Amino acid sequence: MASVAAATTTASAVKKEKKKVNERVAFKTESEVEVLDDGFKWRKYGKKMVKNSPNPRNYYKCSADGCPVKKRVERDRVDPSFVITTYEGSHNHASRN
Amino acid sequence: MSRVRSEPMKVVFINTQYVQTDARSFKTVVQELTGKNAIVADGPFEFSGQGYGSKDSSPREAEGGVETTEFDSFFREMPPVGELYNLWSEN
Repeated sequence: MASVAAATTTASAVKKEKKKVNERVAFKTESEVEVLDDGFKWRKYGKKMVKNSPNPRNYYKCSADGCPVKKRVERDRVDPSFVITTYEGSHNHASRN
Repeated sequence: MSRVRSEPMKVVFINTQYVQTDARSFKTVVQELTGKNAIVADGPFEFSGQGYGSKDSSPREAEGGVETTEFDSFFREMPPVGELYNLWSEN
């Protein structure tokens, strides 16, 4: 009995490392407009000033129900004729067009 | 972080794949990579069809003499898309 109790205590004291991998895809596109049509509808949920850049970064979430995809859009600090769009996740539904 | 944590340690890896396209092919490429049947997945994948972004100039030509950034150096170091897919399918 005593040995079983000791074994249980040891097991719970061991720290497990959880690893999570975020897959992102970043696009650099020459464009005058910041929001490029990618065939999906988006809802803006955040805006942040980025260090060393006069251009803000906007955060969007796909407005399809239950779809986990997020994206962030900002102008390239070095060459403002370029827009950087970074996507995270895959859609679980078809695109609009 | 000198205190001992009671919860398990969480490690987050952020893998960003960099892609250069033009405004015309943007929608197509974005949907290929983030759409419902996205090519980008956890492990090796099969690719059938031509490489994207190849109908326009290669990343090197499209730079236009811009000052070097971290983003740009990713493109320079990145092998051509066709080669990337060959490497992946070899595994």
